[in-house]
Amino acid sequence: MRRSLLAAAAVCCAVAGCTTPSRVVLLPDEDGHVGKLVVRAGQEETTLDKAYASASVGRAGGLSAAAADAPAVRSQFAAALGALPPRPESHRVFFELDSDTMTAESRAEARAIWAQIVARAGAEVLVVGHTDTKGSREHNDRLSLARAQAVRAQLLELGFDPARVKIAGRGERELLIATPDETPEPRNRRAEIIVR
Amino acid sequence: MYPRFFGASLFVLAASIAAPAHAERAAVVKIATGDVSVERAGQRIAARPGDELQPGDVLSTGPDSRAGITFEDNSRVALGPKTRYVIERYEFNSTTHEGRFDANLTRGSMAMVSGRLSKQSPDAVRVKTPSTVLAVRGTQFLVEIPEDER
Repeated sequence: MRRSLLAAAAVCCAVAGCTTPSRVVLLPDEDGHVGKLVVRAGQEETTLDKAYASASVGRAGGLSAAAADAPAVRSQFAAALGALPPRPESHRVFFELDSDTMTAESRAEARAIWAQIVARAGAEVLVVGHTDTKGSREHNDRLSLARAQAVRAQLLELGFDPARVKIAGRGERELLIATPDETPEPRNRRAEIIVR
Repeated sequence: MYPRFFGASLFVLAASIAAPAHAERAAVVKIATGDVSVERAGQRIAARPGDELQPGDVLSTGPDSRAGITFEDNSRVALGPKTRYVIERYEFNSTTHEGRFDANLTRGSMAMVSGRLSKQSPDAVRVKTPSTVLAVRGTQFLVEIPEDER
C-alpha cells in the first residue's frame, strides 16, 4: 500500500516535476489569542501570525501564502477538529480539620466531579493532597497523602482504571492561602485533581 | 493559582511514582473512532482510548476514521481520515518544560493545539509534511496533504 503510493508519487514527480502538495492554516486559540507558525519549503519560508492565515505548496512546488475562509476551513477540517481531545482541567475538594474526610460542601460537589472524570475517555488523573500548617511537617505529609488516597479510592469505587490515577502528598509545602506555622486554614486542607 | 496545577512540579511527582512503567510515554490516545491503528516495531495493533504512545510510533486512520491524542506536555493532536502520523521524536522535561517534539504527517489531515514545549522554546516543536517543515511557535493550526486529484 505504502510502496505503491510512493511509487505513484515518484512516477508523478519524474513525469511532471511535481511536489506532494500540502496546506497549513493557523487558527485562533480557544481563548482568541493567535499564535505563530513558521512554514519552510526548500529555501523558502513564510510566517503565519494572523487567524486563518494559510500557506500552501502546490504540485509545481513553491510556497504561497493566502487568507483562508474561516467557515470553509472549519468544514473542510471538521473530522480532525472534532477529534481534538478536550483541554486538561482541574478540580479542588476540601477536607475537615486533621482528617481525610471531605467537608460536607465538597462531598455534595464531588459526585458531579467524579462523574465528569469517569466519563472522560482515556482520562489520566493526578490527585495531589495538601494540608494547612497545623501539626508537624511529618504528620502533614502523611495526612496530605491520605487525602489524595481518599479521592483515588472514590474514583476506583466507580470503576475507574487504577493504572490511570496517580497520587502525591505535598504536606504543607504548597499553601493555597499563605499563613504562619500552626495556623488552621480550611482552604489549605484540600486535594487538587488534575485531569488530562 | 489554578494554572500552576497543570504545571511542572506536580507531574514530576507523578512521573517519579510511575517512572519505570512510563519512562517512554509520549502521549495517550483519547479518541479513536473507526479504523485507528498504531505501528510499533513492525507490529500493527488497533488503538483504543487509554493506550500509550511512544516515540517512533506511527498512528494511522482509515476512511471515515479519526483519532485524538494528548501528549505529556499537553499538546493535543487530532487526525482526520486516511491519515498517517509519525511521532519521530518526543522528549519533554516536565520540570523545565524543555525538550524536542518532531512529528511527520505523511498523508491525510491533522489539527494540533501545541502545549508547553512550544511555549518554552520556539524551535522545540516541528511538524514535517512531504513538502514542508513547520516550526510551531503556538498554538492551534491545521495541516492537510490534499489527495491526488488524478
